[in-house]
Amino acid sequence: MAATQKRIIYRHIDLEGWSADIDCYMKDGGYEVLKSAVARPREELCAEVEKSKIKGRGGAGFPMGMKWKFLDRKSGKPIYLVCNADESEPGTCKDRPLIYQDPHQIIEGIMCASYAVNAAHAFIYIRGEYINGYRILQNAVDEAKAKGFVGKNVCGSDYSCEITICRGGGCYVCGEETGLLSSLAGGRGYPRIKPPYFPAVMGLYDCPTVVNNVESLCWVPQIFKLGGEAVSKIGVPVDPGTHVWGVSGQVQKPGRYEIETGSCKLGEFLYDICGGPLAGRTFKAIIPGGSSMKILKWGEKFNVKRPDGTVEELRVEDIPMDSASFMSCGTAIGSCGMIVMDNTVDMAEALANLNAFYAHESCGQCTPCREGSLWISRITKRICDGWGRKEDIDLLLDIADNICGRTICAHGESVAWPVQSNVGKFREEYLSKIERQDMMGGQARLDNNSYRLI
Amino acid sequence: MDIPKEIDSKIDAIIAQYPKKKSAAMMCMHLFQETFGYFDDSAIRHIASRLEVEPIEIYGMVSFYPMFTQKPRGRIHIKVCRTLSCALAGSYKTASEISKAVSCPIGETSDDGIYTLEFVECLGNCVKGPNVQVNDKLFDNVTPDRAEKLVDTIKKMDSDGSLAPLPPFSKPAGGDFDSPEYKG
Repeated sequence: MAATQKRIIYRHIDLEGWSADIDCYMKDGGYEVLKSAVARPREELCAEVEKSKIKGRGGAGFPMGMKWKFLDRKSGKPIYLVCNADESEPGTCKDRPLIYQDPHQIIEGIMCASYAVNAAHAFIYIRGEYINGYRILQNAVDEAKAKGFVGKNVCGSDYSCEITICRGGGCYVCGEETGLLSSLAGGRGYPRIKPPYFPAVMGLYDCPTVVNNVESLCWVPQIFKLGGEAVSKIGVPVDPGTHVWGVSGQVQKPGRYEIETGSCKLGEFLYDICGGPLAGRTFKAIIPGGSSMKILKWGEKFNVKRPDGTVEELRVEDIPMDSASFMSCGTAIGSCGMIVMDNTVDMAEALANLNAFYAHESCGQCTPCREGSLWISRITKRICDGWGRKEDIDLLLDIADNICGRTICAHGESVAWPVQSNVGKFREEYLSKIERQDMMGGQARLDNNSYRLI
Repeated sequence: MDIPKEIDSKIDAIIAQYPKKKSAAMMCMHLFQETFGYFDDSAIRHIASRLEVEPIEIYGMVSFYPMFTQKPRGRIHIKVCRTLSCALAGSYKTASEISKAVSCPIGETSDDGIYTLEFVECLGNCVKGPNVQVNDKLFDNVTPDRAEKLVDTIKKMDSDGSLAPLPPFSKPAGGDFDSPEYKG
C-alpha cells in the first residue's frame, strides 16, 4: 500500500485562498466547537480528552488527558494554561505553518482547553525567532477578543480568560516546560527539578499549570467535535491520531507531511511521500524525531517483541510510523522532526554539528551537562579537524554515560543520546577515520562531495 | 541612553497583560532590544525599576538569552542557521559566501558598522534549509550558489528601506514578508 497523507491538523495549511484572518477561519466553521464546549460540563470535556488517548506532540509523548488529570484542582490557587510554541529542536518545524497560516485554530484550541481545565489565564510562549509569527498570533488574539471568543465572558458564558503572548529570547531550554515557566515568570530560563516542581502542581508562580504543545492543543477542538472515542480510533490504538512529520536533510522532497499513525512503514514513507534518496545516493542514517533522539542506521535490524511474546526481526525500513514501534526499536519519534542523511555524510561531522548545538544551549545549571556537553563538542570537533585519537571513541561514550540521568532536565539525555547511538552504531567509521588521519591530517573526510557540517 | 516617555507607556501596556509585573520582563526586553538595538546599564536599571526587581536579574537575562545584546549590532543583521538540517543543505558554505560578498567575518560586525554576520542555532524552518534571517525577515533555500543573489537582494532592499525591521508591536506584515521572493 502506498503511503498517503491524511490532513486533520494541517487541513488549512497551504490551502489556496486560505488566509490567517478570523473571517476565513469562521467561514470554515471556526469557533463553533468553542461555542458548544462552553455549554458542556468541564468533567465531561476532560473525560473526552482522556478517552482520546492523544499523546502530547511536543516530544515527550505524555498522554494529554493524564497531564490534565494530574492538575492540582484542590489547592485553591488559580490554574494557568501555557501553549508551548517554543519550537527549537533541530529538525522540528511542524508548528511554524500553524502559527503563520492558521493561528485561529491554535487560539480555539487554547480556549477550549482553558475552559475545560478552568484556567484563569492562558499564555502562548512563542520562540523569539518567529518575529512575524508573533505579530500574526497577536493580531489573531485581538480579532478573537473583538468577537468575544477570548477575554470576558467567552461566547456569552460566565467563563473569562485572557490570552497573553510572550516571546522567547532564542534559548533552547525554554522549550522544556519548567524552563519555559521560569522564563515566563521573568528570569533566566532555568529548568526546575521535579519533584517538587511538577507544572501540574507547582508551575507558573508555583500554581498548577498545564503546558501543552501547539499541535496538542489543536487536537482539543477535534476531540470535542468528534468525541474522544472517535479520535482514539484514528491510527493505531497505542498512539492515536496523526503526526505531522517535518522531513529535512537529504531526500528528494523535504517537507511537512501529516500522516495517520501506523498507516505506513518508514521505508514507504521515505520513498512514496518524500521521494527517496537524492539521485545516485543511498540512505545511510535517520534521526527520527528531533535531533536529540537516537539515530537509526539504514540496514539495521531489530528484534522486536510482539504482544504474544514471540520475537520478530524488523528491518529499519519496516518500522511502522507510530511512537510505540519506534520505541521498541530503541529510539523515539519525539517531535517528529526527521533528519535524513545519505552515504555522502560523514557521521563524525554530523555528530560534531549536533554537539556544538547542545554545548551552546546547555543552560549551565548542572555540572555534568554544562561541562560534559562542551567536552564532547571539543572532542568531536577535534576528530573532524584531523586530530582524533583512538581512545576518543570510548571517552565520548564514557562522558555521555555520565551525563545521562544526572541532570535536572532532559537536556542531559539530549546531549548523551545522539553520542551514544551515533558512536555505538558507526564505531567502525569513526575508527577508520581516525586511522586515516594519522596519514592525512584534517584531509581525512569521508566524502568530499558533501558539504562540511562543522 | 535616553529613554523617551512613550517607552514607559508601552511598558505599562505590557505589564497590564500579566498577572505579575516581573513576568513582563521578556517582552519589555524585546521592546528595548528592538528600539535601541542593545542594552546598556541605564536600560537595565530602567527596566528593573519599572518591574520592581533588582537590576542584576535583568542583567542576568540579557546575558543569558542570545537575542539580547550589550553591544550595538550592524544595521543589517544576518543570521545563518548552522544546525544539522541547514548544514546538510550547505549553510556553512552559504555563510562563507555571504561573508565574502559583504566583507564581514562570521561572528563579527563589518568595519563600516553596516553588517553583523552570525551563525545561529535552529531557526525552525528545517525543511527549507539553508535558512538565513536578515533583521526580522526569513529567507529560505539559500543554498551556497544562491548566496550572492541573496546579498544583492539585501542591498536592494536596504536602499529602498524595505529591509528595516518593523517597529515593535506592529501589525503583521503580508504573506510574502518572510522569504520575500529573490530570484535565485
